[in-house]
Amino acid sequence: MVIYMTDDPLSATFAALADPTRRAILLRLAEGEVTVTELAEPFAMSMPAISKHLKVLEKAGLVSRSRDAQRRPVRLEAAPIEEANAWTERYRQFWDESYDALDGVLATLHQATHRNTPKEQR
Amino acid sequence: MTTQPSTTNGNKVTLSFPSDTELVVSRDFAYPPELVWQASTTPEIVKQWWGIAPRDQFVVCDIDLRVGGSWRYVFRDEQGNEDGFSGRFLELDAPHRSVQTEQYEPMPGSEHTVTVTYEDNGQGGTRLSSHHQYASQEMRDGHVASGMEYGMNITFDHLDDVLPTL
Repeated sequence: MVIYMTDDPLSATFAALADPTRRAILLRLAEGEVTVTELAEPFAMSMPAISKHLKVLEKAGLVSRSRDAQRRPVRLEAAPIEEANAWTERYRQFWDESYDALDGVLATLHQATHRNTPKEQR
Repeated sequence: MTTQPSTTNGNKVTLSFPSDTELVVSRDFAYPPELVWQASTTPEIVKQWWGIAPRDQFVVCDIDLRVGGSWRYVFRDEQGNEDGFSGRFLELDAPHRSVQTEQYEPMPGSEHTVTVTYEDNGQGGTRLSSHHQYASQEMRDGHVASGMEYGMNITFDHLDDVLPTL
């Protein structure tokens, strides 16, 4: 069994998303593909620093670079983000289901408590 | 997606990630902290709601409710596979707060600390929050994954079937 495998796709996605600059890059890319130069403009960062972030995003499959020789625009790849979202959603679902059941249990407990210990007798 | 009629009060679970190593699960309940505490720390009651998957059996529900005491939940599916969650109580302040360790037994090394608070939500109900603190981001994300794998077995209609029988 492999535990916390760092190169599994979801771990890579979450690690890539953990950085605010990378999230900002993804938000920018959500508007459409751009070149690395265009991408670097709004960030107070050197090109090598941006490239480094892009490499992490690319490795996680979150962005792709076109083979178009000159411009090589960067493009957002939505699938891994959707997978990460789905994953978090299923964890939420686990608790939604449990807590929905707890609502019913509490109602029953509350009723039982009030039956057994009437506070106000008339 | 279909919306099923249910016995819930419409409250939703909130997941938040305050940092790379934290995860908070919160939810409001219509009843006071004393009752939520009782339902969360009494084995016969926990068995009625915690992580119930259809057709799974809740085979072990041990809660030794004292500081240093341990707790353990084990589920068995139709194929006889067992899944266990367990830990130890570090702090207890009924009905306000408990701190315990928790691990998903198939993943040794998944142990982390959970601080559960039962707060009066000002409307006669309780805000229940479980704050999970992990040693690393990898552990947190691995934990969410393991919760997902277990939670995936749960279908929607089962719980509402169980409730009227309680």
